[in-house]
Amino acid sequence: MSSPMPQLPPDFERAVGGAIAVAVSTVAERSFFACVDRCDQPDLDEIEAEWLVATVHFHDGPVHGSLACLLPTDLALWLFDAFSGRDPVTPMPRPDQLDDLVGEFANMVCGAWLTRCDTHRVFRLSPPSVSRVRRPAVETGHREWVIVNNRPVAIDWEVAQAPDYTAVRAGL
Amino acid sequence: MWAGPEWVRPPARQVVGIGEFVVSNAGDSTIATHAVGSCIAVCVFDPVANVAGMLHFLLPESSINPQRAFEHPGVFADTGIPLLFQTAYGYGLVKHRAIVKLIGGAEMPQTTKGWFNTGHRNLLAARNMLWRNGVFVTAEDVGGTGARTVHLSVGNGRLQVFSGRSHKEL
Amino acid sequence: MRILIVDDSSMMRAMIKRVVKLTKVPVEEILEASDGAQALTLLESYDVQLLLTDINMPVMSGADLLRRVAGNDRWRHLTRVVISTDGSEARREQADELSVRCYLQKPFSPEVLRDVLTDAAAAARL
Repeated sequence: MSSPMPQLPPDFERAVGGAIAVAVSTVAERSFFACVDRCDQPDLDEIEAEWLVATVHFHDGPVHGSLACLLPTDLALWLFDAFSGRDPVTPMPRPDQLDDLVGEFANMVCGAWLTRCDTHRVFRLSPPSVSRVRRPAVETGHREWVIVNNRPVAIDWEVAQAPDYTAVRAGL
Repeated sequence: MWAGPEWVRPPARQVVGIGEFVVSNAGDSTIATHAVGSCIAVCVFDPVANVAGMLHFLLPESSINPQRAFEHPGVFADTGIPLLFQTAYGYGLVKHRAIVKLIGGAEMPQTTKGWFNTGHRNLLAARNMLWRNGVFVTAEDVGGTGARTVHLSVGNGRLQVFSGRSHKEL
Repeated sequence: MRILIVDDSSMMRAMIKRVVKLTKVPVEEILEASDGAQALTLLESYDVQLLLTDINMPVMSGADLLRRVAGNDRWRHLTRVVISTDGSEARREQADELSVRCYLQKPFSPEVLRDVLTDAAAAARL
């Protein structure tokens, strides 16, 4: 993450969390047929799987910043099969295919949220970057937890209001 | 036993219970199911082979009770939907001709435990299974809070949905 | 009909390709590109009737690709569809000005894409 972002109003920050959860739900249901619920942070010690972290940066719109989706590998595999319609008799996806899928998931979540924030202005998204971690790092910014098909997903986000934009909706 | 004239004999009706399915090519018959609340009725029809089928499933995933899924595969989306199609293939249904419609997925209040979102989960599970098997959904009558009754005519695929006092063709 | 799918995600291209194959439209060939520059190279080499493109891509964006297509009389009959996470009004207006037939915002269900393809394919064959 780059230099610290300017402070946003507390009510805006709370609203962003809810709006991001709505975006995850929209993406998960429409393109992945997965059910989403909000939740508190799970006990990460109970989750043995490796985690995939897909990060997208956004700019040129009413806000700029980043959004990262952190999800366990077993959920990523389920999402892969749901999105692609993979026949179980065909080989499992390669790591680069799984990374691509998770990156596209983060891309869609970010886009769905930003479009709700402001339906008028164009924004630009960077290509997603994907890494793998043993478990999600302790949050230093903002984090929302959701349950996707009974598996936890963390959404880390950093947002700064564009200097020339005086009224920003949270995306509700 | 029908004692009236042959030309006014009512069509035969096959009733699908919860967790059951029926496939038929008897052109003058109807397949029906009742009390489709949070469940989903999956209806398929091949207009060339004149084969129709209906599954009335209750829950999304068999992993929650594999024994029950083994004994009653129609209870779950992920075991019932493939079985519905496999049986229909035996009657001559061809997948790329199949017209598939979904009915149900209502949110029904549980009197003591509150709302479980089961209807919504069932709907997502049905869509997932159909997409994974390369089948599009042609039409849906889903959601809401009331139970539905479904009638599917085997001869022409006509699908009628009854809910409360309302009635529609899908 | 020859279709060109442009998206930097290989998984998204694969999903769109699957819907194309399941939809009952006559397709001779499906081409793929991961950015606008690759897409232009393919358009110059092949006779394509239907273009499905994302917007946010590296090297050359979908917006730049569509501007190049709109500016070349050779492709005036090319049916254009945008498939993008960006659903802003500004982007849609931009697409209208570039003669895009349909703007499909991600995420979408397979059935919605099927309907867009059926409509676009009919237009492409006219």
